[in-house]
Amino acid sequence: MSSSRVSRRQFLGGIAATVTAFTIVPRRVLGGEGYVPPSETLGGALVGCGGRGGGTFGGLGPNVVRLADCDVRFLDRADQKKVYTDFRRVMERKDIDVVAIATPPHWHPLISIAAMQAGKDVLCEKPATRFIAEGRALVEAEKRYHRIYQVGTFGRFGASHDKNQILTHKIMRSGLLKPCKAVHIKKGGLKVKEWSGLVNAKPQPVPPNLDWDMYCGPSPLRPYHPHRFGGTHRGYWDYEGGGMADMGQHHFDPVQWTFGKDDTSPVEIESYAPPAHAEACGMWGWVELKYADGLTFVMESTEWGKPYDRLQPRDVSLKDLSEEDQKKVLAMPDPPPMVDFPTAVKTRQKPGGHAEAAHRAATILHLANISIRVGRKIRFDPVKEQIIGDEEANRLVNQPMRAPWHL
Amino acid sequence: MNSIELVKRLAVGAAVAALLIAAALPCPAASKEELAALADQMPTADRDGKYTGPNPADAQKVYDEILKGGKENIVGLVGLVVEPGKGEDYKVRYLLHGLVTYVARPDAEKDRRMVCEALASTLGGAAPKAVQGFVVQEVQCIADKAAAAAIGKLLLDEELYDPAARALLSIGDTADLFRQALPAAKGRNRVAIIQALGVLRDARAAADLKGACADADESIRTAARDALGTIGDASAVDTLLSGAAGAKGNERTVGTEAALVLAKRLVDAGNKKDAERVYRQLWDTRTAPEERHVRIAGLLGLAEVRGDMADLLAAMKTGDPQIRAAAIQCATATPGREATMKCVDAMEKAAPADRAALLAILGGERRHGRLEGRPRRDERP
Repeated sequence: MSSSRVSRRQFLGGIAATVTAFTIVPRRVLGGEGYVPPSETLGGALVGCGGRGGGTFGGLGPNVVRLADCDVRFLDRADQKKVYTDFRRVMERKDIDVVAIATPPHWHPLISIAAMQAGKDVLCEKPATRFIAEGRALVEAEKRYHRIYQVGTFGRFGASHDKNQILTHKIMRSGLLKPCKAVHIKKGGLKVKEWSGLVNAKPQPVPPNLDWDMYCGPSPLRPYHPHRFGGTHRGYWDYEGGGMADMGQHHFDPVQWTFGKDDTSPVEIESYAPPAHAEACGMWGWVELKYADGLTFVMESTEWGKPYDRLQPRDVSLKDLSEEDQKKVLAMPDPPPMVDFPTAVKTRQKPGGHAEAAHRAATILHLANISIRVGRKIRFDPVKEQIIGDEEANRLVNQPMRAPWHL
Repeated sequence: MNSIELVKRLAVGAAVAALLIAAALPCPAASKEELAALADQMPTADRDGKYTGPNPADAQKVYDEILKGGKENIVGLVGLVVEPGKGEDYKVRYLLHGLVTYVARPDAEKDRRMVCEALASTLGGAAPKAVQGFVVQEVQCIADKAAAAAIGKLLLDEELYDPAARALLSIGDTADLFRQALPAAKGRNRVAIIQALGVLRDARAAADLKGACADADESIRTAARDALGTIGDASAVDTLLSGAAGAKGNERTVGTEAALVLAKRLVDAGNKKDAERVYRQLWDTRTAPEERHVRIAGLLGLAEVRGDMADLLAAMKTGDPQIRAAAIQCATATPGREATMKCVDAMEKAAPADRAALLAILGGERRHGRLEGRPRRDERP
C-alpha cells in the first residue's frame, strides 16, 4: 500500500491556493448577506436609452445585469452583441430575463407585448399606451404568457400607504356609496403648452445615426424634424398625447387606485378646447370625466380659455354613508401592500402597476384627448371599450398601425 | 283686397320664394384668393411655432362659410395644400382638419358626405403624393364605404399604400379591396395588405394566406401566419403549429403567438377541440427553459378549454417555479365545487411541498364556486 506523502511546503501551498481562490472570487458570485448570488442574477436589457432610460433600468432591481442596449439612434455603433437598433434582436436573446422600456410611447405597448411574447418581464415607462386598444392587447399578453408587467410610475405605491387614501379606497370598493358625488380636480401641472407640437415645422435631413423608419414604427412615416424626437415627441399625436398623456398618468394613476377604479373607465367625457390640429397636440381648457357611479375627475389646464367653474372639489367621506355602512367599511381589512417589480419577478405576483391598472389609467387620458380632438362630448362603454354613437371618435380608440406593426 | 294690395302681396311672396330658393341652392364656390383669405383667418403660429387658439365659435364661422360653397370649395382648399417644405400651408391644413372634424358631429351627415366625396375626388389625380397622403389621412377620419373604392386604388402605390391601408381599416368591411389588390402587391405593400386581411378577419383570404406562409420572405411569412391566427380559421391549425415549430428567433415567437391567437379565436367560436390541440402541443413540446412562457400559455389555455384541474395539478409537479406559480394562481382562480374536490383529493397523495401549494389554492379568495362574484378580500365590507 502506498502512502501519499505531502510535504509541509506542498500543504501550505495548497492552503494558499484555496484561500486565494476564495479571495479572488467576488462576494456577488458567492452570495451572502447584501450580495446576490448568480442563481438570483437576472439578465436585463434597456430599450430606449435616452432621457429616462437609465432611471427606468434601475427600476428593474439591484440583481439585474445590463446585457443589452437598444436605441434607434445607434445605427453607427450597433454591434448586435450589446448594442442594437432593432428590439426584436434583443428579445431573441435567451440570457435576457427582464426588459426596461423607455422609448417614446408609440412604441411602449408593442415592445412590451413583444417582450412578453418572448418570455421577458417588463418595466415600461409611462404612459403605458398611445391609444385605448393598445392597452387591452397589453393586458391580454400579460395574462396569456403569465408575465410581469409594471408601468414606470409609482405614485400609486405612495397612495396605498396613505391612511386617508386607503379609507377612500375602501369606501369606494365597498360598493356602499351610491351615488358617488366626489369631484377630484387636477388644476395645472399638465404641461399643455410645453408638450404641444409645432404646426409649421419644415422637413430636415435625417441624422446619419438615426433609423427614422424604425423610430416612426407603427405611426405614419412623416418627414423628419428634430422636434418630433427626443422629448419634444410628446407634442405629436403620432407618438404620445401632449402634456395630458405625459403628465396625466403621473397624476391620475394613483388617484384611480384611491377611488377604486383600476378595473373600469369613465362613461361621459366633455371638454373645452380650440379645434385640434391633425398632427400636433395643442391647447385645451378643461376636461370633465364622469364614471358610472357619479365620481367625476376634472383636468383644468389653466393655460387656455376661461377658468373652469362647473363643479367644486368634493372628497369622499365616511359621513356619506349610513352609520351601519360606516361600521362595515371600518371593519374591512386594509388592501394588501402593493408588490414592487423586483419582488413580482421573483414571486410571480402581480405588481402594483400591473397592465390592467396601467391601461385603465392611460384610458382616462386617451378619453380626455379624444374629446378634445373631436371637439364634443363623448360617451364610453368601459366593458366593450368603445365610444358609443360617434364613429369618428371611435376611430381614435383603435388606430390602425403602419405595417408590419400591429396589435 | 284691391289690386294694389294684391300686387304687394304677390311681390312679397315672390321675394320670400326667391330668398328660400337662394338659401337652398349652394353659394357659388369661392375663388382661390377667397379660400386663401378664409384660411388666413385661422390663427398664426406663435413664435415657438405652436397654436394657442382659436375660439371654437370663431372657427365654426369659417367652416360654415366654406361649406356654403359645397364640394368645389373643399377641392379648392385641397388645391392650396403643398408638399412639406414647398411652401407655407399650415393654416390650410389646420382649416381642412377642423372642417373634417366639424362635419363629423352627429347632426351633420349631409355635410360629412359632401366633404368626404370632395376629398375622395382629389385622390389618384395629379396632386403630389404627399398632398394625397394628407387627404387620405383626413378622409380616414370621416369616410364610410362610399369613399373606399377611391382609396383602394392607392393600395399598390409605393408611397400611398400605408395611409390608404390604414384608412380602409378604419372604414371597416373593406376586405374585398385588399383581396383584389393582393395578387399584384409586392414588398411592404404586400405585407400591409396581408396584415389588413387578418385585422379584417377575412376568411375568404385564408387559402391565399396559407400559401404565403411558405413565402421566401420572412416578413411575408410572418404577416401571413399572423393574419391566419387572427382570422381564426380552424383549417390553419396545422399550418401555424408546424410553421412556428420550424422557425427560430423572432419568427418562432410571432408564429407561436399566431397559433395562440388562433386557439383563442377557436374557443370564442365554440371549437374547443381544435383549440385544445394547439394548447396541448405547445404544452407538450415547448420544454426548453426559455420557452416556459409558451408552456404556461398552453397550460392556461388547456385549463380554460377543459374546465378542470387535471392539467393544473399535473403542472404543479414540474420543477419550474414559474410554471408552478402560474398553475397555482390559475387553480386558485378556478371556481366551482368540482375544482375544490379535485384539490382535496390531490392532497391525500401529495408530497409536502405540493400540499402547501394545494392548501394555498384551497384557501384562495375564490375557492368556493358559490362565492364567485363576491368582492375580493380587500374590497369586502
